[in-house]
Amino acid sequence: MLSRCLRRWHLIGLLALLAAPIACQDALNPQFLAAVGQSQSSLPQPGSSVVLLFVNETVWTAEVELTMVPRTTVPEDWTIGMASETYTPLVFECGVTQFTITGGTVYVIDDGQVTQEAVGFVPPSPLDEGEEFVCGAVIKIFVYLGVDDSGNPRWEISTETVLD
Amino acid sequence: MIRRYIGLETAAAILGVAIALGGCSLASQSLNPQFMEVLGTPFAPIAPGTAPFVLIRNINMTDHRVLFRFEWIPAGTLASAASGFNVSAGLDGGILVSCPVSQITLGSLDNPTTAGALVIFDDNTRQEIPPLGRNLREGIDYFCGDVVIFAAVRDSSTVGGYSTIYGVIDGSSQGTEFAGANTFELAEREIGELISSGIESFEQAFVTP
Repeated sequence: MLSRCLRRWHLIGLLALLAAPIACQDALNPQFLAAVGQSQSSLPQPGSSVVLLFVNETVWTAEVELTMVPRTTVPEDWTIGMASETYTPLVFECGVTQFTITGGTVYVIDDGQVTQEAVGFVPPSPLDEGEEFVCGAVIKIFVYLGVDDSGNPRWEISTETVLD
Repeated sequence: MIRRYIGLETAAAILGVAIALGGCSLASQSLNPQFMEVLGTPFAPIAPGTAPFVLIRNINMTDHRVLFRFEWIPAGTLASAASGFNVSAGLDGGILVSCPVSQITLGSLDNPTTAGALVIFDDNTRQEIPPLGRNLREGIDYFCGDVVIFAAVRDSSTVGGYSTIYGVIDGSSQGTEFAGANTFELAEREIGELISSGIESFEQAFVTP
């Protein structure tokens, strides 16, 4: 019984050892190491990405605050500043499990004075990997002038995931 | 002899299980894409490839927060643009810049003494990391569609204890077929729609009228 158990253990281990180089082949991609060429070959090879496409549709400078939760480290807070009516395409390696938009600010200039106006509506739930996005997706994050339920204008943020 | 064989077999088994459980950190970051790549079709692109961008990527391989500073010359201007990522240990950030991008460097294109990055310690003291020291040029060091990577690393051979390394991923060598989304082609399409609706690239802020 013990002998049979040991044989199974060895078999599992040896199969795992044989499979490991296949699973790790990207880390050793010779094309990448060759491409590094003039620099050191100790760089990790980045994997696929998620693109966050920030779009400021307002005529003012704006900021979006978000928290991203990587699979392997602690959550990271980001503030993305944008000029008026511009887009900014940021790229993060896959492995982020969640993006949460926590707020935003629009910098309105009125009579020479800069006023910070908080975004009045942000998407209520986090964007979860496997639900609202997957590796390889483009997530568009818009800042724009919308209206509330009473028809009053307010700054809003919305998101849209593009997969194909 | 038999005893020795069993010892080697046991060691191999332990090593195999250890590697399978966690020896390949890259595999643990994106299991599905890796799995698809084993089958022969990449899950999603790594580089822009045929999409008209250069991806400038900063990777923090130190144990502390790092503030990167890089510059490039945006399409349609001779002036340089500056940006950077403030990323915690082990994380990365990248930005897509539109082709043509004639020059890129970590630090300043015009001032070789400007630091390439700052290591920010827990007590908020800072340690400068030297710049790349030369300007990378399109058509020589990289091409449209490539990824230019700047990474901060511990380096005991330097005075400050940190340095940067760089690498270029050839975007033309990754193929055009993917099992999942073609990320940068999607980005190109979405950006094209934004431009046609009057939304400009963030890089326009750097263009001199």
